[in-house]
Amino acid sequence: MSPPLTTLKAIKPCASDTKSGAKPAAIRQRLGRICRSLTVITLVLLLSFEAAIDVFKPLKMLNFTGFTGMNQYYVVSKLPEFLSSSEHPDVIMTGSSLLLVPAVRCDEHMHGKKARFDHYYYRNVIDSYLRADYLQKLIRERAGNHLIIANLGTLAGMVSDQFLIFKKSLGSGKKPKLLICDVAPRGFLDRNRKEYDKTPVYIVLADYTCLGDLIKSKADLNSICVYAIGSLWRYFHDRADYRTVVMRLLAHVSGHPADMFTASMAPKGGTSPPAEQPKSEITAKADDVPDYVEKPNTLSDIGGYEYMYQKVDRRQMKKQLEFLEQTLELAQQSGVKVLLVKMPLTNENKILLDADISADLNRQIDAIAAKYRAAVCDPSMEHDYSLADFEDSSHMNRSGGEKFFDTLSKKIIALLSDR
Amino acid sequence: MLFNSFQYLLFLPLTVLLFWTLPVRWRLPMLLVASYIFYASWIPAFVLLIGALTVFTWLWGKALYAAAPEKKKLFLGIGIAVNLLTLGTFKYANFAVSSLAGLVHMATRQTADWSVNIILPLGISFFVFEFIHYLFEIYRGNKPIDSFVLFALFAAFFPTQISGPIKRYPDFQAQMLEEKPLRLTYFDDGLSLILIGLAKKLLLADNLAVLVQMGLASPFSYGALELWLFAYAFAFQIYFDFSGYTDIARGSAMLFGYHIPTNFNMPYIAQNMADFWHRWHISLSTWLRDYLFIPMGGSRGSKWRTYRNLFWTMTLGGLWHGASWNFVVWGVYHGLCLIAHREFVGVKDKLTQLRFVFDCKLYRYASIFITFQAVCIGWVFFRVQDTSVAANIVKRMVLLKPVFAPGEGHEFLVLKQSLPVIVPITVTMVVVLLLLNLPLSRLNELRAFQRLPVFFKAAYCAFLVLALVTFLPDNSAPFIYFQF
Repeated sequence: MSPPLTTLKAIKPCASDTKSGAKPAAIRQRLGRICRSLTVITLVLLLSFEAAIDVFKPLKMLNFTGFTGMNQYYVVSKLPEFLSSSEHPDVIMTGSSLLLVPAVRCDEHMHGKKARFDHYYYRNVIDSYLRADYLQKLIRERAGNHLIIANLGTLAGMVSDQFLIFKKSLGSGKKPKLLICDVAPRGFLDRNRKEYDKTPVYIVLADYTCLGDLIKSKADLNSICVYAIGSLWRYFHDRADYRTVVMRLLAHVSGHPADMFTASMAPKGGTSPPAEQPKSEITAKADDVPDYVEKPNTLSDIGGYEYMYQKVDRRQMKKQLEFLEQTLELAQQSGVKVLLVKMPLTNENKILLDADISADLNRQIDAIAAKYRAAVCDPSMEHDYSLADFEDSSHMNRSGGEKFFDTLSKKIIALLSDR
Repeated sequence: MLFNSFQYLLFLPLTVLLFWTLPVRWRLPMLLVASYIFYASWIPAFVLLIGALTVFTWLWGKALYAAAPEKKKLFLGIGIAVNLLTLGTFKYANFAVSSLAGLVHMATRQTADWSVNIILPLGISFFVFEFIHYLFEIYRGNKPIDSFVLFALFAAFFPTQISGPIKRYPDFQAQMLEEKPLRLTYFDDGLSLILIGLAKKLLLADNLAVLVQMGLASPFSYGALELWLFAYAFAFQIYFDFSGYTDIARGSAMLFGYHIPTNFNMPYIAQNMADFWHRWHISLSTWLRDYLFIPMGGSRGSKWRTYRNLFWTMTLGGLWHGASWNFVVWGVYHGLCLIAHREFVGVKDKLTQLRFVFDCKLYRYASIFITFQAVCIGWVFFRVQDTSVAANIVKRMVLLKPVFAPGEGHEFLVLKQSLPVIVPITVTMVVVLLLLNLPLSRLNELRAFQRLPVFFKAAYCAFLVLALVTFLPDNSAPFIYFQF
């Protein structure tokens, strides 16, 4: 090990030192020894590494490789990031991409940025967007309220996902004054998301440990230590993600399955392990060519909705309605106001859903809202929305967004000023 | 509380902080209380047992010191007997009863369901060995420890409490009595040792365990070459596990300014079995030499008497490791190996005309290779509890029959593409460790790490921290030697 140092206490000025120079020399000597200490240099190196991680975010940079884990999946990566942040928003918006696209379009216009319409932008900016600056601005201008709004909409988010996001937010000490829930029909009926516990949001958040969970579950010392260190040390918090990258990279190079689970899923006697992540799910590379030209609305997503609404699963709808009820119940218990928003959609989209089911769904949503005294807002009652207000059959563009946020801002102001 | 647990990560800094901030007179009592808290974190009731044995040995040591010369032997005998009786009751009662039941079954063909199910108090073997050493040294004329706090702390000092290294009291007492000022080197040396120890345990031993476990799940479905690979894997696993533990123990002690003995000195470059035991678990082998082999007569008598003493020392040493026949077989095997080595040395000394062969480098490397293979065969008996299974594995390994797994052609099962990536990683690890064993040991001999400029050492430590954090398993296995 390093050569023995003399006792810290024993470092005294030499006899030859002058009275005035002795003390600074001793301090310099002591500081020099501290700076040469292995422990101190190691700590400095670790702190530098942590700072570099914070600046470069290597996991995000590695996303295009397909080796990153679920936490880095562009659809949900913002959720753990938000929950572990120190931000305490006044308003939390949960729902689907119906909330994200208009927010991005209005915000980029407000900040004087050019709108982008390429694949990379959708996945890396829109789907992981956390803000609603334009809405905040409207509220500030109209009521002088400096509210912080967190946009936690997730691509193809279900109502059950909204419940989990709200629950984990409360568990992380982020209690908003108002919770805004998107109650568009897709969140209750999406055939692609039949099992509520298999959605990306659920997979990422179900095991996400927040302080609230630890307290409730009377966690052991080990879990508390892991949580405490993870809260203070970013790299430690993300360690499983880094491990996943290394293991998947090694698996890729060697041709072996990354873990026991993947190995057990491989065909018997087969040598090719299943792919880690579908290619379509892998984030596009940052150097993809940006596309700044807004395309005419060709209702590009209508096929997806057709499929989703074709065979409505009543049990799924009932389950999702139960989650809505649980969300409102939790909000009531926690003293959080709720605003249910019936998202504007194009007529082409609306007519795909059987009228009876649509009416039944609306009736049940209204009944649940009434039971828990939650406010319901239908922006289509205030503004007319035409095809020109949408990018496709469901996502509002900037003009649709401005109408939408106009209604929403008024409603938020009214709700928050209503004591 | 495991060294590789978060509880310890909290406990250690807190204790270190208290130690260095308290007035000097309170430091040792505080360390004693902390050590008992550490022990109580397993099964609190056993604190009473260890406490009682400590009080007895301390008082008995005083009585032994004060006893008339002609009665000293009797006092020593009683002191050792009480300690061994305690060890025997808690560690070997189950074994004795089940072995007796086995004998009854063999004789009468009737199954005797005798079991006593006594829980083994952690670290009792190490406590008892330190107490026996203490009594022996007083018998040999050393002065007993006056203060009970000092004696209790010598026995219970938490870094060495569960798995050693087995300390010697004159040296440790001198360190306890020394008034230590706070030095930065304690932290530099201590923390780097702890990091290296954790890396050995969590990055190497725990991963190698995966391969060993895989091999032992169905040993006879593998060929001889793969069985050798598993034996090598276990050899490195147990080395990194135990030497990792020792490094953490030494590093933890260093944070309080205490130096405790080393336990390993590159054991896998040993050139013969005697050399191996000078390098492996040094604190135990020197204890066995000083308090078992020498009192039995050592090598003072005839050749056969020396062989007898060697044999019994190693057999009892094997039994000390665990109350199971496989440890006895392991001890016997090492006893026989040591005897064989002595015989060989005798023959070698007579062959003066072949001295140039024995002095050449190739002979040295061949000796290291053969000794390592012999040690690995021993590890099979150590690891596989069923001695007949172990014997069969060794038979296949030695006879190289079958070379490859039965029914698999000329392929290795461990290289099958369908196995998770951790398997080829660990196989690579074993191969790399085999290849680097000599060069790394040479670097270690040259104290290469210690000679590095401090910045590189710090970079190495920071890298270890990040590697540990990244690959930290959710549940790390306890250290192998905790069961002894």
